[in-house]
Amino acid sequence: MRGGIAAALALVIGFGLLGAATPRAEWRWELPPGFPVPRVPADNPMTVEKVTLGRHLFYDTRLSGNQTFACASCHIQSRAFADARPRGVGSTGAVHPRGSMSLANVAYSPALTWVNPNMKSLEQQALVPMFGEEPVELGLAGKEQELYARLRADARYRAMFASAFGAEPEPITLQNITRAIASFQRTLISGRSPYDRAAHGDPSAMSVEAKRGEQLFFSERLECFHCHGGFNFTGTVDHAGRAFAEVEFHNTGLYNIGGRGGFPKENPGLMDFTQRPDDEGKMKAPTLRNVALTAPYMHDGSIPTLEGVIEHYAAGGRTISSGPHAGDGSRNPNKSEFINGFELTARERLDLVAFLHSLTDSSFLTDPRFSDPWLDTLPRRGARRPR
Amino acid sequence: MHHHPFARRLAAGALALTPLLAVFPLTGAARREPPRQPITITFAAVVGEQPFACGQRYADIGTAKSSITPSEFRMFISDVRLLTADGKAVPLALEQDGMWQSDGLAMLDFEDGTGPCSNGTRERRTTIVGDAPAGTYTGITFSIGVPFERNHRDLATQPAPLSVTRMFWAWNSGHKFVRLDARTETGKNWVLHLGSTGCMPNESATAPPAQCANGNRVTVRFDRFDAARDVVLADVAALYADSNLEENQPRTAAGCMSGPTDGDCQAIFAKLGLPFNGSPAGPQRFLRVQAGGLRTVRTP
Repeated sequence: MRGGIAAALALVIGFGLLGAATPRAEWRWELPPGFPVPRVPADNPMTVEKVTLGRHLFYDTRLSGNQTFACASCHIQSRAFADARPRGVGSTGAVHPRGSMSLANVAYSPALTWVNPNMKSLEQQALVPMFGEEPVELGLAGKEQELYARLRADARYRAMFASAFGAEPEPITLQNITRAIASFQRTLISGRSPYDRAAHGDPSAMSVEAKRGEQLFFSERLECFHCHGGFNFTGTVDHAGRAFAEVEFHNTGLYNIGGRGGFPKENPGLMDFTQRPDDEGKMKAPTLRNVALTAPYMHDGSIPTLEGVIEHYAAGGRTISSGPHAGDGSRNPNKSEFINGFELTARERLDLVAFLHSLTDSSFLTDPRFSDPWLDTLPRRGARRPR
Repeated sequence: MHHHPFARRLAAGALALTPLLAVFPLTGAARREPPRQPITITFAAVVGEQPFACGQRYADIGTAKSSITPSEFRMFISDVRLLTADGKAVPLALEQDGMWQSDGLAMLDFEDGTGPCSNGTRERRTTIVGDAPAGTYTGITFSIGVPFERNHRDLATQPAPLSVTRMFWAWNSGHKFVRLDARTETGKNWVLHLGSTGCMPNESATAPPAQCANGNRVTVRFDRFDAARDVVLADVAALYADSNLEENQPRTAAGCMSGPTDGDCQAIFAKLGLPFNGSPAGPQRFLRVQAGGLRTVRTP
């Protein structure tokens, strides 16, 4: 009997190494209560092997031109896969006009990044940090052959690619790299915060302050939930079983340069794509899950704290009194109809902040399935923490 | 089923018969495809009167008389058609080489990976190779750019030359049509990345953009061009003649990355013959024909 198992195991391992069409383990989502099944592109079904490979690629500094940076350099697990910088900084030091977004629950986002309505799949989006040059992020433009050579030179990758894409004669391709990274990113699901536990049977998981804050958040007085609603606290959402995806972009009155709705030129928002002046400054509302960990806030990191964000919305828009960005954001002509300002007592402010903190899923931040798989290997390949 | 033109002419009367017989024997000739001839279109990149070279320093560029050193120069050409004396436009069928040409699309690559072009490739490509029905062609027309229906497909799976990552324009869901990077002697980067902007999604969850407000493809037409003898020059100095390379508009891309509100694009788009921000299209001044080939271009 034991011999039979060993032989079967050897057979399976042998097939894996040969890259033969080994039957792959069916993917099983382990979703938090109340979470729908993500929509996965038909041509890139989830497999354990792709997710494993994608995790290694996500954390591997060989995925940058100068081999100093990985996806994980700007998407840090302890920060809910965002980072602590106001704006992203790439492998060559170039500063991105916008901040790194949290990847928590990115599988449910039918439009990726802060503002690109054409960026519809994680497979497609991965090409921007890899090959983009304005700004340089991973800095791989023109270096794709070097990248493939680096991966081919590592027996672990040869085995992982063969295992994930075994039927292909040369599985180390750009398409398979992006498919694997996207598969790993789809597993980054966060939904076990105190808020979730309270909603699913354990009322004591949330403090009374947080519960009062929840009432405020979902009130018509504050209107937060109009743009940050639903299980993922954003109006831009899709998942299996929905008739259609929803994609929303909003102007929150963060700027009003010149009194005509102007935003700083490097961040025109949706107008960059539609060319419509009334789309200037419209951005995607990000998920608020783990929001206590993703400071500083807004697309350009221009508000340092959650208290500051509440201040901005309470005022119905931010007023900047001097300098090149001067203007009264509350009078931005393109501002969302839901941002009209509100008054909060000091206690209510604390309650609202407590609610936002109750969206922190600490298990997500330490889940070993999402951690750096290179930590125990030498030479160290994993992403360095940003300096 | 309509009659073959030759058959119609044969039926029209005996008068037409004599000259035709001289070229085509009657038996079966009416149905045969006319023979084809190989045709090579030769391009050359220049900076004014000097050949383009990576790392070379070129003086007196633009309105500020800048000295520039280029580090990249590639572009996509599509829809190549040869013009006959009577005004017909005959498609040039491109050789499918698996490297530079695919279907009706070709990439020109003027950099050689040396010096500041180190992110480029050693391989260069300055010709478009194909064939067309045998005949006399007196002109040429083509487009600078990737056709819309090919520009917005999955970048990760495109055949060469659309697989060249330095020409990816992932943020804009497409490819750069022209990429010309340079640095001024005063240390300022000045680049042209020409591509489509204002692209809007369609309704489906994954499909490419439905349309782009600014296609930014340049239609080029030379009524007098002899492929056997003449060369198409792409002139960096002419492209930047009305641009001030020392003064980039604040908070915009260095040079012109086709941003519809980037004032640095105004003068460049004018030289490309493209409309820009309300300014109408005009004649393009970037490419020109050098009759008789490269002999008259001075070496530096």
